Amino acid sequence: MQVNDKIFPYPILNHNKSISNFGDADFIFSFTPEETERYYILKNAKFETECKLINELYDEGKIKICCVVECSYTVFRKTFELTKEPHDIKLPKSDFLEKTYFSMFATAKENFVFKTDNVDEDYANIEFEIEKYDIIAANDGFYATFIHQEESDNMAHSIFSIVTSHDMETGESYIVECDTGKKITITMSDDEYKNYKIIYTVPTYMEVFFNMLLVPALVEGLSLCKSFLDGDSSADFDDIGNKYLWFRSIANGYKRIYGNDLTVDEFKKISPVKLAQDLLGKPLGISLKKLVEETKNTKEVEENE
Amino acid sequence: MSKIHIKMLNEDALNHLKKNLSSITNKIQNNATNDWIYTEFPQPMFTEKKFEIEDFTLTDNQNSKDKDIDLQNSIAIFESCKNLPRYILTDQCFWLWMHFEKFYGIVRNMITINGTSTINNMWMHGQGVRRGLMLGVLSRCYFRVALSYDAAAPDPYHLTKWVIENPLRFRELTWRTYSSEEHIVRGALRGEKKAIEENGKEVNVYSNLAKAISLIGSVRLLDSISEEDMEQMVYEKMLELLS
Repeated sequence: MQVNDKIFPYPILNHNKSISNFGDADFIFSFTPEETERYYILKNAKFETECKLINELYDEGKIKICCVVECSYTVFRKTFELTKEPHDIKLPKSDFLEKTYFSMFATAKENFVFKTDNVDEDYANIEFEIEKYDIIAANDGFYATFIHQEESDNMAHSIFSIVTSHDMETGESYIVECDTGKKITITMSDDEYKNYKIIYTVPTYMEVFFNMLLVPALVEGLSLCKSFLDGDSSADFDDIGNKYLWFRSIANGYKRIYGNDLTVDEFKKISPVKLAQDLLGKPLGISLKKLVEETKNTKEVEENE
Repeated sequence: MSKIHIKMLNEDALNHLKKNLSSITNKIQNNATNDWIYTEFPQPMFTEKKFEIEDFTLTDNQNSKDKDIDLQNSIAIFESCKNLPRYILTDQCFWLWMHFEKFYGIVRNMITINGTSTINNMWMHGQGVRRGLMLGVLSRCYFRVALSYDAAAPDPYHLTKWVIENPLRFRELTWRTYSSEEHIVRGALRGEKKAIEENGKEVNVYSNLAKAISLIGSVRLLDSISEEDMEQMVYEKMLELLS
């Protein structure tokens, strides 16, 4: 849960100073992130603030501080109390998928009235009635991304999903969709799909199929990823991976081939046509060689007949 | 019953379902058994996962009319699946295994299939994660129990019975993100129940009630409200709405 720029009928301390009513005071969610195979841990989690009012209210037991953990993908939402003393919050990773938000709030434990001069001029020395559970300080926190992906060494299987649509006519151009699921989806008519299934199982023609179908589809996908990066200077690979889930397999594939990590700068420079061919095992040379051998074999058979 | 490995619908099969929703809806409508799925979908259609559950059965319940069977089926799903990782329980592909393979005939009978929208919304969770789970033929059974289970009560399913008796008491709450906090849902259901028992009659005010709870959360942090205080707030609001 996040308050963003929500306006409250009384002054609140927001860690985002541009919308806080308490000047330069921080409302810090302090912890060290740690991970084990099964857990995500907010190590030594505690809150810190130099705001006099919040410290006084906390010390008087009128407010409590809590961290709200929310993941919309797993409909998870849970609250954990924070204090000034550090303690660990241990969260099973299996509760989360994709973006999970961690935010922090101070809420009233009882009804009370406060008045302070340490606030924006408009609110100074005015009495405000606070009711139990009212939010009086907020930090919209951060998000962490959780992925439970079974790694596959087969680049084609981890990136492409090839399906038929009964509504497509024979001979109709196939469709490539890059942002509708976990993989790049290639859709073709029933007849084409039937033929593809036959060709795909013949070793001689497998790379031909890669050239005809997978290389152009991956070029389309990689070009979209490059446009995404070009359109947002602050975007990184995590952002691309959130939009195009299959892209997460690209970095692993790149490292397998080139031996080093793919960087944003390198990705911006590299040609999608080259990268697509490299990732799919440079199928042109292999397929031409196989086809030439196949042609020679056919000629020999014809000459000997 | 013995332990079984769960399965999930494969990505290719899911994409095939999305691309051919109309013809697959027809096949579901016209076939009481699921033999056809093995020729219609790209194979293998499902992948077996490492996670195990206690095997279980469901009782046939035409259009979910029998509330007792509905309750027993919901409890059976919950008890068997409650220890699965949450990211699996909220994945449409897990429920699609149950819909297409494990309980095809029973799922097919549980709701009237009016057309592609029924399959999209109630089999495939097509309206997004939250709505999908709360509308899904079997996932909604699971979440009706998961969000109302009252471990401290002599009968931990007393609120589940209340929900299944009239799902509207629960549905409007679960459209809202605050309903992921189980204690908010339990407190709200207790407050509803108390107010209706006291009022003597039930009127469908649940949409307004869900909005009223959202309104409470406009300056307050709903998550920090105790179950008891939520019960009292909802009880008072319900009496106001019913009057």
